[in-house]
Amino acid sequence: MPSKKPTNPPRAPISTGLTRGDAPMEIRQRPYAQRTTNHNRPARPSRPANVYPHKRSSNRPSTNRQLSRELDERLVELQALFDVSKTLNSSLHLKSILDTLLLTPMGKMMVGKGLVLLARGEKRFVIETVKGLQQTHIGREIMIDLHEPSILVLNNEEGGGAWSAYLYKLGLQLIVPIIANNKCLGLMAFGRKQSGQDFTPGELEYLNSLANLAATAVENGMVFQELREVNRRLDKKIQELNTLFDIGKELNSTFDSDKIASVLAYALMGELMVQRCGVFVEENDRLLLQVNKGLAPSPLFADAEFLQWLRKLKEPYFFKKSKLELSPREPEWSEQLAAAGGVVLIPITSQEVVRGVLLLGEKITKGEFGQEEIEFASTLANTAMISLENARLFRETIEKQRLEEELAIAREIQQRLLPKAAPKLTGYEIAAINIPTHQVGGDYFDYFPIDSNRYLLTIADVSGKGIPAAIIMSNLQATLHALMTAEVPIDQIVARINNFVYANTTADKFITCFIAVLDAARNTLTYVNAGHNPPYFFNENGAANGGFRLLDKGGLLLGMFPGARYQSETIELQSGDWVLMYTDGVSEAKNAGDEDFSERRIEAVIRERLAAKDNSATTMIDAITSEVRRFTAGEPQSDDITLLSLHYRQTNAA
Amino acid sequence: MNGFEVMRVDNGEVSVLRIKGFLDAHTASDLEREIQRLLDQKRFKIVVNFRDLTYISSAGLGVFMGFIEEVRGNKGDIKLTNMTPKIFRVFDLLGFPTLYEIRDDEQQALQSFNNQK
Repeated sequence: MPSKKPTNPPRAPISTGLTRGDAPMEIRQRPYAQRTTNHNRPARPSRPANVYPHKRSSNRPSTNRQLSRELDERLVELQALFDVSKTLNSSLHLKSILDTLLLTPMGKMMVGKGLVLLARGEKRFVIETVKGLQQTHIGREIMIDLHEPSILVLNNEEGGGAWSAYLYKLGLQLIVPIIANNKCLGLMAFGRKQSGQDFTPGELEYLNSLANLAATAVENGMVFQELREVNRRLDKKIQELNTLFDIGKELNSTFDSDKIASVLAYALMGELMVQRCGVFVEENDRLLLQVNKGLAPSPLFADAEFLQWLRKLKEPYFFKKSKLELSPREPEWSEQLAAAGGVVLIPITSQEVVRGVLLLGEKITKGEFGQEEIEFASTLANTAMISLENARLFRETIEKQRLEEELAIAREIQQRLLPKAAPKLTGYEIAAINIPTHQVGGDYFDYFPIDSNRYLLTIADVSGKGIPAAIIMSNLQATLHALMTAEVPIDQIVARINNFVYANTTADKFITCFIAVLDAARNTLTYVNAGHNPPYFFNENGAANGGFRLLDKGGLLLGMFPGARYQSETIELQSGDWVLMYTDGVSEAKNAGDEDFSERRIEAVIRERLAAKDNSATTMIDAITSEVRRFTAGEPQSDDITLLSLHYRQTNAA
Repeated sequence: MNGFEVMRVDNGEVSVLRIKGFLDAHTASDLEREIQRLLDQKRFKIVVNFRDLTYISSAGLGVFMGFIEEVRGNKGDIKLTNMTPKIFRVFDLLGFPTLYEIRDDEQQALQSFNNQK
């Protein structure tokens, strides 16, 4: 090392600093040449490699022999330099270029330590290779501000900026810049010579020349490395695209939500090197954890407030860092998420609405997620979300089809239960109609002979719709047919049916029912009304004046109150008597204004028809149904419409 | 869909899975099942031989990610062998060589397991 202390002020102040925000510092070393020679001949990097100024100045050889020997030495050195240069330029591999660049002078001058820093941005240098030092220094970033780079010798730790102190501490004291086209590509730094001697001016010139010769190779190596980096990034993009295609293909070939979510999780885990991944997906207006790979179970995953909060996420949320403060419980959630193994939440959106959320664990490399990686995860998840939505639509379609089929079955059951044709009885006319809704309600009517003179007439409304209602209805029919005999009074039969329905249905199932027995020989009608809309009883001569009677004797609806008792009533029929039974689908048919058709309108139709004096049970029913249609004017029918009409007119024969 | 097959050969404590065909999002679950079966049987020393694998996707790699912690947590490992350059490139691109032991052939992987004893 040079023994003289610097006497002149620095020729070029160099401000420097290590990374982590150190303020640039002024360095007070002077260029080596200025301090070590008397000739004030700075070792400028631009100097041609074959110029050795010190030889031509003070140490001029005294004899020809000496001169010849020194020239030979120079030639050998030059040859060595060109050899190195050739080696350097024959490779594009930056690391091997830098290794050669370090090892050659270290070998020649017997130096034990060295490293190369390359410029990687504004004042930013990165240690690329080291010799005789811990490999861990590689990759370290150092901020160095060089205005006019030249060979420097560091005398002590305090003398320079943070960067020079850092190098000095590593035992590196000689700094040689690598310069191409007036741009500093990097720095070589060397430790002491093993001999303990200072570097001679000749050696410094040698290093300078080597640095100049190597500069092009280093620059090429850097460009090549950059190209390789770009290529690798492109390859990575292609790999990402492959993944997207691959996933897209798979996602579109299945409607199994679990499989879709699982494929998404694995693709992300492979692509991002993540070991834990959870996918929350919206279902019925709630977010649910659809798949969990590697996350510890947490009560948080079912916490309604948390899941609600997730739906407000608009951007990736690194819950250890960001505080969106959408909820006061966030700190608690962050802790729980971290405990479960998560790091970042990424919203999955479709048409800008959050449909799901990804929860990713940390990368196995412990590195941070890059912007591109988060974007990739987002893209992949959004793609998967489309498939998940398709799967949901598919399930819904299937479910709808299943319901349609069920409805078709229910409709068939119901239609089979209804009698095909009304009985023909002298003096009596019976007509009925059932207009089921699309949903298939629970209306039922029936008429069948009990014996030669007596007929059962009934109208009923079973609670509920669809197959369950159809089944209850079919049970009611079977029970009626089985129990109805001439010997047992109908109030007792109804009481038994009530107990039977109660015993065989759940609490929410019940039947309102009007059961009547027509005795065509005695012209009587005996009925029990079990909670059904009371049928109208009227005589065609009196009704026009408002003479309706409601047939409301009986008791409670069937199937709700075990042991209920029922009353019956017997009416003697006169010529011109009518009985009109209906279900609430008629009286509660609604118009666009949500108004009920109501009993009032039923009665109005009856009066109108009777006034027309041209009546049959069929025309009466038709008149009511067409009036209901007119009233509802295309509004969807909400319930079955069922009507049963009995008309008695004494014939001449009787 | 392209086929994927897993053949398992147990060699002492070590189980070798020789995988064949396309390991993509579709077939990843087959490999998942096979590895899960090994873990259920408490076999944590696993060698996966890629000799006859023609394609691997990220989802395939994801399966390895999904198990490695549990496997290593049970003093085992998943070692990978016989990768074609094409397969290795995918592993390399995604940075797997720093985390997984990748060997030239099964024998080397088995030996490295044996040396750990």
